[in-house]
Amino acid sequence: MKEPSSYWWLRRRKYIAIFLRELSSVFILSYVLLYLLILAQLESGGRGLVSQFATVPFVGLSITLLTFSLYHSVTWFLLLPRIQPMKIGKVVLSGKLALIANLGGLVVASLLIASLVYGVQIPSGR
Amino acid sequence: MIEPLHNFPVQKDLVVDIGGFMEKLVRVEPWIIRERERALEEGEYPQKPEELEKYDQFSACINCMLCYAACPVFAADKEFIGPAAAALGFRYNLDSRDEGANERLDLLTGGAGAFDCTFVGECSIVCPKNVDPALALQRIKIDAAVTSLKSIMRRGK
Amino acid sequence: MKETKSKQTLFEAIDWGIFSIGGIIAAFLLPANIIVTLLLQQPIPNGPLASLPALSKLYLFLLLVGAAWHAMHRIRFVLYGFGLSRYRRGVTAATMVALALIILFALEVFSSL
Repeated sequence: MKEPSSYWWLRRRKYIAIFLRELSSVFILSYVLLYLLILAQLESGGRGLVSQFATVPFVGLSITLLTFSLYHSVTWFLLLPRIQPMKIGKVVLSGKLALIANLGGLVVASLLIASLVYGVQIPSGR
Repeated sequence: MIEPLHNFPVQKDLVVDIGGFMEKLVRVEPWIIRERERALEEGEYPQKPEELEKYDQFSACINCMLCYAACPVFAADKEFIGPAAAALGFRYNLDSRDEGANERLDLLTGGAGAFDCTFVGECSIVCPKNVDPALALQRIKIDAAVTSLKSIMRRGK
Repeated sequence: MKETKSKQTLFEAIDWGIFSIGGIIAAFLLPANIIVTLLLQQPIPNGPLASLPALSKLYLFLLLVGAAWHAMHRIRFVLYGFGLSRYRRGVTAATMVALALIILFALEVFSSL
């Protein structure tokens, strides 16, 4: 009997999208380690990492980490309603609406963190 | 393009060996488990329509194995319990007449069990009967997590 | 009726439970953290919450450990997906040890900040 290839799915777009979703975990872990290293270094007086912040490679890395983090968020928001449909009152939200609602929550949470935890000034448009 | 079902050993042309799949179906103990069986004179086990509703969708499986063909976890690990067997086992856990949910939960999550599922979700998409085995697998995980938490808290007392 | 909860099921269930919580935390809170700490170049908490250092440290600790737990769980199952599921115990041990080291590192960083 012929044993078929186990990785036929790596050639299908749908599965590649899901594989990237799983891969986002590597980037999330990388950010955790990077941030801990930055804090540890600052604490001991060093500024090696922080001084790299404005360089092109570091900005590229930051954007990559952010992209995968957002991809993780979006795919997460798409998955959860399949287990527990989101409701507003008695109305069940469709997959797309649930995604938009969750993204709204993400934006609100982000503004709260930026201002309350980190003290970033949020321009109020005045 | 016509090809044999993915993830199963090909015997010849389009014929695949489904022995592993059949074994998994039996492994989840897909029958009513009772602490004490009723004697015939005591009559049948009654069930209300709402109780049937709870497991009805998961009983619609026709064993077509499209879900196993679509699952990349099964592709990598042929020991994985897989969507259809999990949905079948879960169907019995949800049956009001059944009293074997705890032991069946262990069967469903042990070895390369439900927790190996990474919620790719393709199984539910390809299912021709809308069984939604992906949902069954996630709910099995939730049930196992809840009962595990309860058993830990009980031990703590 | 057998009321068994096998050790493997218990372990996987707890790991998965924390993975799920970590997933929610990472989904809602991580993008903002990356933007502020790396792109806006402000890694040190400086907002109103920072005046309660214990609270902001706790927040960051839970965020980072939650995200790390979530990520490490996924990495373990990616490894299974590449055929390493036959070395289940070894892969589980390795990923849990790595996770423990990260948690210890986080504890060390936040306790001396």
